[in-house]
Amino acid sequence: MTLPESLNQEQQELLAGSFLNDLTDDEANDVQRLLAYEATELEFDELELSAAALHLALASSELGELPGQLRSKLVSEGEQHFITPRPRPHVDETNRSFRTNVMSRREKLAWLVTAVSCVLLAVVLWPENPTLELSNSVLRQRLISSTNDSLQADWGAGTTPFEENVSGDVVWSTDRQSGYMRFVGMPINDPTVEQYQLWIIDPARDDEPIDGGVFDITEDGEVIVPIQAKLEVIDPKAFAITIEKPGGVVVSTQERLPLLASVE
Amino acid sequence: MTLVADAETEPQSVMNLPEDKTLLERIAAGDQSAVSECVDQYGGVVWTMARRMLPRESDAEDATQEIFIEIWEKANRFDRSRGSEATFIGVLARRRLIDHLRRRSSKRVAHLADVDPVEPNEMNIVETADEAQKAAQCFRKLSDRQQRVLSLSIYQGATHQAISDLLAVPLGTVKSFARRGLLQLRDCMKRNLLPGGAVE
Repeated sequence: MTLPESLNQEQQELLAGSFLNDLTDDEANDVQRLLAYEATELEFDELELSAAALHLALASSELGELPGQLRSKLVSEGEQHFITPRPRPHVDETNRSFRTNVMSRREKLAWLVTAVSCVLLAVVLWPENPTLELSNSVLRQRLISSTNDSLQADWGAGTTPFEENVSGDVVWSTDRQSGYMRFVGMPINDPTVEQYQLWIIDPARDDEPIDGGVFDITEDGEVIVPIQAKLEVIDPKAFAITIEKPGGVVVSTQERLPLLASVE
Repeated sequence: MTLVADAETEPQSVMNLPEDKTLLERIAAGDQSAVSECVDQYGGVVWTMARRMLPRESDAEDATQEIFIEIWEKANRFDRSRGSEATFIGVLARRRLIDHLRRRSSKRVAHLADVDPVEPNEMNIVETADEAQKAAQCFRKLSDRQQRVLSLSIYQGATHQAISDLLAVPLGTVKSFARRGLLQLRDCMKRNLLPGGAVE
Protein backbone atom coordinates (compact mmCIF):
# COMPACT_ATOMS: atom_id res chain seq x y z
CA MET A 1 0.00 0.00 0.00
CA THR A 2 1.44 3.37 -1.04
CA LEU A 3 1.39 6.51 1.05
CA PRO A 4 -1.87 8.26 0.20
CA GLU A 5 -1.89 11.94 -0.79
CA SER A 6 -5.56 11.32 -1.33
CA LEU A 7 -7.23 7.96 -1.17
CA ASN A 8 -8.05 6.00 -4.29
CA GLN A 9 -11.41 4.25 -4.70
CA GLU A 10 -10.18 0.95 -3.32
CA GLN A 11 -8.71 2.59 -0.24
CA GLN A 12 -11.88 4.60 0.32
CA GLU A 13 -13.98 1.46 0.11
CA LEU A 14 -11.67 -0.16 2.61
CA LEU A 15 -12.15 2.73 4.99
CA ALA A 16 -15.92 2.58 4.48
CA GLY A 17 -15.78 -1.06 5.56
CA SER A 18 -14.52 0.10 8.97
CA PHE A 19 -17.91 1.61 9.70
CA LEU A 20 -19.84 -1.35 8.35
CA ASN A 21 -18.01 -3.73 10.65
CA ASP A 22 -17.06 -5.99 7.76
CA LEU A 23 -13.26 -5.86 7.59
CA THR A 24 -11.23 -9.03 7.37
CA ASP A 25 -8.09 -9.20 9.51
CA ASP A 26 -5.94 -8.31 6.52
CA GLU A 27 -8.17 -5.39 5.63
CA ALA A 28 -8.08 -4.15 9.22
CA ASN A 29 -4.29 -4.18 9.02
CA ASP A 30 -4.46 -2.15 5.80
CA VAL A 31 -6.75 0.39 7.47
CA GLN A 32 -4.31 0.63 10.37
CA ARG A 33 -1.57 1.52 7.92
CA LEU A 34 -3.82 4.06 6.20
CA LEU A 35 -4.60 5.70 9.51
CA ALA A 36 -0.95 6.44 9.99
CA TYR A 37 -1.41 9.31 7.56
CA GLU A 38 -3.10 12.54 8.43
CA ALA A 39 -4.84 12.74 5.04
CA THR A 40 -6.87 9.68 5.95
CA GLU A 41 -8.34 11.16 9.08
CA LEU A 42 -10.71 13.54 7.33
CA GLU A 43 -12.06 10.68 5.21
CA PHE A 44 -12.40 8.56 8.33
CA ASP A 45 -14.34 11.28 10.15
CA GLU A 46 -16.62 12.02 7.20
CA LEU A 47 -17.52 8.38 6.70
CA GLU A 48 -18.19 7.86 10.38
CA LEU A 49 -20.42 10.91 10.49
CA SER A 50 -22.31 9.81 7.38
CA ALA A 51 -22.94 6.36 8.84
CA ALA A 52 -24.03 7.86 12.16
CA ALA A 53 -26.34 10.38 10.46
CA LEU A 54 -28.03 7.64 8.46
CA HIS A 55 -28.31 5.50 11.57
CA LEU A 56 -30.02 8.38 13.37
CA ALA A 57 -32.36 8.96 10.44
CA LEU A 58 -33.38 5.30 10.32
CA ALA A 59 -33.82 5.06 14.10
CA SER A 60 -35.91 8.24 14.13
CA SER A 61 -38.35 6.58 11.77
CA GLU A 62 -39.51 4.12 14.40
CA LEU A 63 -38.58 5.90 17.59
CA GLY A 64 -39.12 3.79 20.70
CA GLU A 65 -39.73 5.02 24.23
CA LEU A 66 -36.96 4.70 26.78
CA PRO A 67 -38.10 2.37 29.63
CA GLY A 68 -38.80 4.36 32.80
CA GLN A 69 -36.43 2.38 35.01
CA LEU A 70 -33.59 2.75 32.55
CA ARG A 71 -34.28 6.47 32.25
CA SER A 72 -33.94 6.79 36.04
CA LYS A 73 -30.62 4.95 35.97
CA LEU A 74 -29.27 7.14 33.20
CA VAL A 75 -30.26 10.33 34.98
CA SER A 76 -28.77 9.15 38.31
CA GLU A 77 -25.61 8.12 36.56
CA GLY A 78 -25.37 11.46 34.78
CA GLU A 79 -25.96 13.45 37.93
CA GLN A 80 -23.21 11.51 39.70
CA HIS A 81 -20.91 12.84 37.03
CA PHE A 82 -21.13 16.27 38.67
CA ILE A 83 -20.65 15.25 42.28
CA THR A 84 -16.99 14.29 42.42
CA PRO A 85 -14.40 16.61 40.85
CA ARG A 86 -12.73 14.85 37.96
CA PRO A 87 -9.14 15.37 36.83
CA ARG A 88 -8.36 16.78 33.42
CA PRO A 89 -7.79 14.19 30.71
CA HIS A 90 -4.18 13.18 30.25
CA VAL A 91 -2.66 15.01 27.31
CA ASP A 92 -0.19 13.37 25.00
CA GLU A 93 1.56 16.31 23.35
CA THR A 94 2.82 14.18 20.49
CA ASN A 95 -0.76 13.61 19.38
CA ARG A 96 -1.96 17.13 19.97
CA SER A 97 -2.45 18.13 16.35
CA PHE A 98 -4.63 15.10 15.67
CA ARG A 99 -6.91 15.40 18.65
CA THR A 100 -9.67 17.20 16.83
CA ASN A 101 -12.29 14.53 16.73
CA VAL A 102 -14.35 12.26 18.93
CA MET A 103 -11.42 9.86 18.70
CA SER A 104 -7.72 10.53 18.56
CA ARG A 105 -5.75 8.57 16.00
CA ARG A 106 -4.59 6.18 18.66
CA GLU A 107 -8.16 5.70 19.78
CA LYS A 108 -9.28 5.01 16.23
CA LEU A 109 -6.63 2.37 15.87
CA ALA A 110 -7.58 0.81 19.17
CA TRP A 111 -11.24 0.76 18.17
CA LEU A 112 -10.52 -0.79 14.83
CA VAL A 113 -8.13 -3.41 16.02
CA THR A 114 -9.14 -4.46 19.48
CA ALA A 115 -12.81 -3.50 19.51
CA VAL A 116 -12.41 -2.06 22.97
CA SER A 117 -13.91 1.29 23.78
CA CYS A 118 -12.45 4.47 22.39
CA VAL A 119 -11.72 5.91 25.79
CA LEU A 120 -8.31 4.38 26.34
CA LEU A 121 -6.66 7.79 26.61
CA ALA A 122 -9.29 9.42 28.74
CA VAL A 123 -8.17 9.27 32.34
CA VAL A 124 -11.34 9.78 34.27
CA LEU A 125 -11.96 8.88 37.87
CA TRP A 126 -15.58 7.96 38.32
CA PRO A 127 -17.20 8.20 41.70
CA GLU A 128 -18.18 4.93 43.24
CA ASN A 129 -21.88 4.91 43.97
CA PRO A 130 -23.21 1.86 45.74
CA THR A 131 -26.78 3.07 45.36
CA LEU A 132 -26.74 2.60 41.62
CA GLU A 133 -27.41 -0.87 40.29
CA LEU A 134 -24.86 -1.02 37.54
CA SER A 135 -24.35 -4.14 35.52
CA ASN A 136 -20.99 -5.89 35.45
CA SER A 137 -20.71 -4.81 31.83
CA VAL A 138 -20.95 -1.15 32.79
CA LEU A 139 -18.65 -1.58 35.79
CA ARG A 140 -16.09 -3.32 33.58
CA GLN A 141 -16.28 -0.45 31.11
CA ARG A 142 -15.83 2.04 33.93
CA LEU A 143 -12.75 0.23 35.17
CA ILE A 144 -11.18 0.35 31.71
CA SER A 145 -11.95 4.02 31.21
CA SER A 146 -11.02 5.19 34.68
CA THR A 147 -7.65 3.56 35.24
CA ASN A 148 -4.22 4.01 33.74
CA ASP A 149 -2.96 0.58 34.58
CA SER A 150 -5.77 -1.72 33.51
CA LEU A 151 -4.52 -4.69 31.53
CA GLN A 152 -6.52 -6.82 29.18
CA ALA A 153 -5.73 -10.43 28.21
CA ASP A 154 -7.72 -12.70 25.90
CA TRP A 155 -8.75 -16.17 26.96
CA GLY A 156 -7.03 -18.98 25.12
CA ALA A 157 -7.09 -22.75 25.42
CA GLY A 158 -5.70 -24.19 28.64
CA THR A 159 -4.28 -27.65 29.21
CA THR A 160 -7.72 -29.27 28.95
CA PRO A 161 -9.69 -27.05 26.55
CA PHE A 162 -13.47 -26.98 26.20
CA GLU A 163 -14.89 -28.78 23.19
CA GLU A 164 -16.76 -25.58 22.31
CA ASN A 165 -15.06 -22.39 21.22
CA VAL A 166 -14.97 -20.07 24.23
CA SER A 167 -13.70 -16.51 23.88
CA GLY A 168 -13.55 -13.40 26.02
CA ASP A 169 -10.97 -11.65 28.10
CA VAL A 170 -9.79 -10.56 31.52
CA VAL A 171 -9.55 -6.94 32.57
CA TRP A 172 -7.54 -6.20 35.72
CA SER A 173 -6.38 -3.07 37.49
CA THR A 174 -3.67 -3.61 40.10
CA ASP A 175 -4.14 -0.07 41.40
CA ARG A 176 -7.79 -0.78 42.12
CA GLN A 177 -7.24 -4.48 42.95
CA SER A 178 -10.30 -5.05 40.81
CA GLY A 179 -11.11 -6.77 37.58
CA TYR A 180 -13.63 -8.62 35.45
CA MET A 181 -13.69 -11.81 33.43
CA ARG A 182 -15.71 -11.81 30.22
CA PHE A 183 -16.74 -15.11 28.66
CA VAL A 184 -18.58 -15.78 25.42
CA GLY A 185 -19.87 -19.31 24.85
CA MET A 186 -18.70 -20.71 28.19
CA PRO A 187 -20.55 -23.94 29.12
CA ILE A 188 -23.20 -23.56 31.80
CA ASN A 189 -22.17 -25.49 34.92
CA ASP A 190 -24.27 -27.31 37.50
CA PRO A 191 -23.09 -25.76 40.78
CA THR A 192 -24.17 -28.83 42.75
CA VAL A 193 -21.68 -30.90 40.76
CA GLU A 194 -18.80 -28.55 39.91
CA GLN A 195 -17.87 -24.88 39.79
CA TYR A 196 -15.40 -22.71 37.97
CA GLN A 197 -12.49 -21.16 39.87
CA LEU A 198 -10.14 -18.38 38.80
CA TRP A 199 -6.43 -18.46 39.62
CA ILE A 200 -4.12 -15.47 39.25
CA ILE A 201 -0.52 -16.32 38.48
CA ASP A 202 1.65 -13.65 40.10
CA PRO A 203 5.32 -14.66 40.48
CA ALA A 204 6.10 -11.28 42.03
CA ARG A 205 4.02 -12.32 45.00
CA ASP A 206 4.33 -16.06 45.32
CA ASP A 207 4.98 -19.28 43.45
CA GLU A 208 1.48 -20.41 44.32
CA PRO A 209 -1.36 -18.89 42.26
CA ILE A 210 -3.80 -16.56 44.00
CA ASP A 211 -7.38 -17.72 44.39
CA GLY A 212 -9.50 -15.37 42.25
CA GLY A 213 -12.87 -16.68 43.37
CA VAL A 214 -15.39 -19.40 42.59
CA PHE A 215 -18.16 -18.67 40.11
CA ASP A 216 -20.89 -20.17 37.98
CA ILE A 217 -21.96 -19.65 34.40
CA THR A 218 -25.72 -19.47 34.36
CA GLU A 219 -26.57 -18.33 30.83
CA ASP A 220 -25.53 -18.60 27.20
CA GLY A 221 -23.82 -15.83 25.31
CA GLU A 222 -21.69 -13.22 26.99
CA VAL A 223 -21.23 -13.40 30.76
CA ILE A 224 -19.16 -10.96 32.81
CA VAL A 225 -17.96 -12.03 36.26
CA PRO A 226 -16.14 -9.83 38.80
CA ILE A 227 -12.79 -11.09 40.08
CA GLN A 228 -12.63 -11.78 43.82
CA ALA A 229 -8.89 -11.97 44.54
CA LYS A 230 -8.27 -13.38 48.01
CA LEU A 231 -4.81 -11.82 48.31
CA GLU A 232 -3.22 -8.63 47.06
CA VAL A 233 -2.13 -8.96 43.43
CA ILE A 234 1.20 -7.31 42.59
CA ASP A 235 2.11 -8.07 38.97
CA PRO A 236 -0.12 -10.71 37.37
CA LYS A 237 1.35 -12.67 34.48
CA ALA A 238 -1.55 -14.99 33.68
CA PHE A 239 -5.09 -15.93 34.65
CA ALA A 240 -6.30 -19.53 34.62
CA ILE A 241 -9.73 -21.13 34.99
CA THR A 242 -10.04 -24.55 36.59
CA ILE A 243 -13.08 -26.73 37.18
CA GLU A 244 -13.37 -27.78 40.81
CA LYS A 245 -15.76 -29.36 43.25
CA PRO A 246 -18.59 -27.13 44.60
CA GLY A 247 -17.15 -24.39 46.78
CA GLY A 248 -13.76 -24.53 45.11
CA VAL A 249 -10.43 -25.63 46.54
CA VAL A 250 -7.55 -24.02 48.41
CA VAL A 251 -4.90 -25.62 46.20
CA SER A 252 -5.83 -26.84 42.74
CA THR A 253 -4.44 -29.97 41.15
CA GLN A 254 -5.12 -28.23 37.80
CA GLU A 255 -6.49 -31.50 36.51
CA ARG A 256 -9.08 -29.61 34.48
CA LEU A 257 -7.81 -26.24 33.24
CA PRO A 258 -9.84 -25.23 30.18
CA LEU A 259 -8.92 -21.54 29.85
CA LEU A 260 -5.76 -19.51 30.21
CA ALA A 261 -5.12 -15.82 29.58
CA SER A 262 -1.49 -14.74 29.41
CA VAL A 263 -0.51 -11.14 30.01
CA GLU A 264 1.82 -9.97 27.27
CA MET B 1 -17.60 17.35 8.86
CA THR B 2 -15.48 16.92 11.96
CA LEU B 3 -17.64 17.23 14.99
CA VAL B 4 -15.66 17.94 18.06
CA ALA B 5 -13.20 20.36 19.51
CA ASP B 6 -9.85 19.66 21.06
CA ALA B 7 -10.25 17.39 24.06
CA GLU B 8 -8.39 19.88 26.20
CA THR B 9 -10.86 22.69 25.65
CA GLU B 10 -11.73 24.02 29.06
CA PRO B 11 -15.39 23.68 29.89
CA GLN B 12 -17.03 27.05 29.48
CA SER B 13 -18.41 28.84 32.48
CA VAL B 14 -22.18 28.78 32.67
CA MET B 15 -22.09 32.58 32.81
CA ASN B 16 -20.21 32.84 29.53
CA LEU B 17 -22.35 30.50 27.45
CA PRO B 18 -24.55 31.88 24.71
CA GLU B 19 -28.27 32.00 25.33
CA ASP B 20 -28.98 29.16 22.90
CA LYS B 21 -26.45 26.81 24.42
CA THR B 22 -26.89 23.17 23.59
CA LEU B 23 -27.44 20.43 26.13
CA LEU B 24 -23.90 19.10 25.78
CA GLU B 25 -22.47 22.59 26.24
CA ARG B 26 -24.52 22.97 29.39
CA ILE B 27 -23.34 19.59 30.67
CA ALA B 28 -19.73 20.46 29.92
CA ALA B 29 -20.22 23.71 31.81
CA GLY B 30 -21.51 21.88 34.87
CA ASP B 31 -25.23 22.50 34.49
CA GLN B 32 -26.66 19.43 36.22
CA SER B 33 -30.20 20.18 35.12
CA ALA B 34 -29.18 19.45 31.53
CA VAL B 35 -28.69 15.75 32.37
CA SER B 36 -32.35 14.78 32.53
CA GLU B 37 -33.10 16.99 29.52
CA CYS B 38 -30.38 15.23 27.56
CA VAL B 39 -31.72 11.81 28.54
CA ASP B 40 -35.23 12.87 27.54
CA GLN B 41 -34.06 14.38 24.26
CA TYR B 42 -31.81 11.56 23.10
CA GLY B 43 -32.69 8.55 25.26
CA GLY B 44 -35.39 7.37 22.87
CA VAL B 45 -33.24 7.41 19.77
CA VAL B 46 -30.26 5.80 21.52
CA TRP B 47 -32.55 3.14 22.96
CA THR B 48 -34.08 2.50 19.52
CA MET B 49 -30.62 2.13 17.99
CA ALA B 50 -29.59 -0.28 20.74
CA ARG B 51 -32.75 -2.39 20.57
CA ARG B 52 -32.49 -2.79 16.81
CA MET B 53 -28.87 -3.89 16.90
CA LEU B 54 -28.89 -6.00 20.07
CA PRO B 55 -31.62 -8.63 20.27
CA ARG B 56 -31.36 -9.16 24.02
CA GLU B 57 -33.03 -6.40 26.01
CA SER B 58 -30.45 -6.61 28.81
CA ASP B 59 -27.66 -6.07 26.26
CA ALA B 60 -29.47 -3.04 24.89
CA GLU B 61 -29.82 -1.65 28.42
CA ASP B 62 -26.12 -2.16 29.13
CA ALA B 63 -25.17 -0.53 25.85
CA THR B 64 -27.47 2.43 26.46
CA GLN B 65 -25.92 2.97 29.89
CA GLU B 66 -22.42 2.77 28.44
CA ILE B 67 -23.33 5.22 25.69
CA PHE B 68 -24.61 7.79 28.15
CA ILE B 69 -21.54 7.36 30.38
CA GLU B 70 -19.49 8.26 27.35
CA ILE B 71 -21.75 11.21 26.54
CA TRP B 72 -21.16 12.65 30.03
CA GLU B 73 -17.42 12.05 29.70
CA LYS B 74 -17.06 13.60 26.27
CA ALA B 75 -19.58 16.42 26.39
CA ASN B 76 -16.74 18.94 26.49
CA ARG B 77 -15.44 17.72 23.14
CA PHE B 78 -18.60 18.73 21.31
CA ASP B 79 -18.17 21.72 18.99
CA ARG B 80 -21.40 23.01 17.48
CA SER B 81 -19.54 24.67 14.61
CA ARG B 82 -18.57 21.23 13.34
CA GLY B 83 -21.88 19.43 13.41
CA SER B 84 -25.07 18.88 15.33
CA GLU B 85 -25.29 17.62 18.86
CA ALA B 86 -27.50 14.74 17.74
CA THR B 87 -24.93 13.51 15.25
CA PHE B 88 -22.18 13.78 17.84
CA ILE B 89 -24.24 11.51 20.08
CA GLY B 90 -25.02 9.28 17.11
CA VAL B 91 -21.31 8.77 16.46
CA LEU B 92 -20.65 7.81 20.09
CA ALA B 93 -23.68 5.52 20.17
CA ARG B 94 -22.87 3.80 16.92
CA ARG B 95 -19.30 3.10 17.91
CA ARG B 96 -20.33 1.60 21.22
CA LEU B 97 -22.99 -0.56 19.57
CA ILE B 98 -20.50 -1.90 17.05
CA ASP B 99 -18.27 -2.85 19.99
CA HIS B 100 -21.17 -4.84 21.40
CA LEU B 101 -21.86 -6.48 18.04
CA ARG B 102 -18.24 -7.54 17.71
CA ARG B 103 -18.53 -9.35 21.00
CA ARG B 104 -21.66 -11.15 19.87
CA SER B 105 -21.18 -11.54 16.14
CA SER B 106 -22.21 -15.18 16.11
CA LYS B 107 -25.63 -14.34 17.52
CA ARG B 108 -26.76 -12.07 14.72
CA VAL B 109 -27.82 -14.28 11.86
CA ALA B 110 -31.02 -15.72 13.28
CA HIS B 111 -32.22 -12.31 14.37
CA LEU B 112 -32.39 -11.07 10.80
CA ALA B 113 -34.78 -13.59 9.38
CA ASP B 114 -37.94 -11.63 10.10
CA VAL B 115 -36.62 -8.14 9.73
CA ASP B 116 -38.18 -5.68 7.34
CA PRO B 117 -36.04 -2.93 5.91
CA VAL B 118 -36.62 0.49 7.42
CA GLU B 119 -36.94 3.67 5.44
CA PRO B 120 -36.14 7.04 6.95
CA ASN B 121 -39.11 9.31 7.49
CA GLU B 122 -38.09 12.95 7.32
CA MET B 123 -41.11 14.08 9.29
CA ASN B 124 -39.78 12.26 12.32
CA ILE B 125 -36.26 13.59 12.19
CA VAL B 126 -37.00 17.29 11.85
CA GLU B 127 -36.04 17.76 15.48
CA THR B 128 -33.10 15.42 15.37
CA ALA B 129 -30.28 16.74 13.25
CA ASP B 130 -29.55 18.52 10.01
CA GLU B 131 -27.08 15.80 9.13
CA ALA B 132 -29.71 13.10 9.66
CA GLN B 133 -32.13 15.02 7.42
CA LYS B 134 -29.52 15.22 4.76
CA ALA B 135 -28.63 11.55 5.19
CA ALA B 136 -32.30 10.60 4.73
CA GLN B 137 -32.52 12.62 1.53
CA CYS B 138 -29.28 11.21 0.16
CA PHE B 139 -30.27 7.68 1.18
CA ARG B 140 -33.24 7.85 -1.19
CA LYS B 141 -30.93 8.60 -4.09
CA LEU B 142 -29.24 5.23 -3.70
CA SER B 143 -30.50 2.18 -5.58
CA ASP B 144 -33.14 0.06 -3.88
CA ARG B 145 -30.66 -2.72 -3.30
CA GLN B 146 -28.07 -0.36 -1.84
CA GLN B 147 -30.74 1.06 0.47
CA ARG B 148 -31.71 -2.41 1.63
CA VAL B 149 -28.13 -3.50 2.24
CA LEU B 150 -27.18 -0.29 4.04
CA SER B 151 -30.31 -0.37 6.17
CA LEU B 152 -29.61 -3.94 7.25
CA SER B 153 -25.93 -3.25 7.83
CA ILE B 154 -26.03 0.14 9.52
CA TYR B 155 -29.34 0.00 11.33
CA GLN B 156 -29.78 -3.68 12.12
CA GLY B 157 -26.07 -4.29 12.57
CA ALA B 158 -26.25 -7.34 10.30
CA THR B 159 -23.04 -8.95 9.18
CA HIS B 160 -22.53 -8.93 5.46
CA GLN B 161 -22.60 -12.72 5.47
CA ALA B 162 -26.04 -12.62 7.10
CA ILE B 163 -27.25 -10.09 4.52
CA SER B 164 -25.85 -12.27 1.77
CA ASP B 165 -27.81 -15.24 3.12
CA LEU B 166 -30.98 -13.23 3.63
CA LEU B 167 -31.01 -11.60 0.21
CA ALA B 168 -29.45 -14.53 -1.64
CA VAL B 169 -26.77 -12.25 -3.04
CA PRO B 170 -23.06 -13.17 -3.17
CA LEU B 171 -21.03 -11.89 -0.23
CA GLY B 172 -18.70 -9.87 -2.44
CA THR B 173 -21.67 -8.10 -4.00
CA VAL B 174 -23.09 -7.24 -0.58
CA LYS B 175 -19.75 -5.79 0.50
CA SER B 176 -19.52 -3.68 -2.63
CA PHE B 177 -23.10 -2.43 -2.32
CA ALA B 178 -22.57 -1.48 1.30
CA ARG B 179 -19.16 0.15 0.97
CA ARG B 180 -19.93 2.02 -2.24
CA GLY B 181 -23.33 2.97 -0.89
CA LEU B 182 -21.75 4.56 2.16
CA LEU B 183 -19.24 6.40 -0.02
CA GLN B 184 -22.05 7.71 -2.25
CA LEU B 185 -24.00 8.78 0.82
CA ARG B 186 -20.93 10.63 2.12
CA ASP B 187 -20.36 12.34 -1.22
CA CYS B 188 -24.00 13.36 -1.47
CA MET B 189 -24.00 14.74 2.06
CA LYS B 190 -20.98 16.89 1.28
CA ARG B 191 -22.93 18.64 -1.44
CA ASN B 192 -25.50 21.29 -0.64
CA LEU B 193 -29.07 20.17 -0.72
CA LEU B 194 -31.76 22.26 -2.34
CA PRO B 195 -35.30 22.62 -0.95
CA GLY B 196 -37.30 19.45 -1.45
CA GLY B 197 -34.26 17.24 -1.14
CA ALA B 198 -32.72 17.86 -4.56
CA VAL B 199 -28.95 17.90 -4.59
CA GLU B 200 -26.93 20.64 -6.19
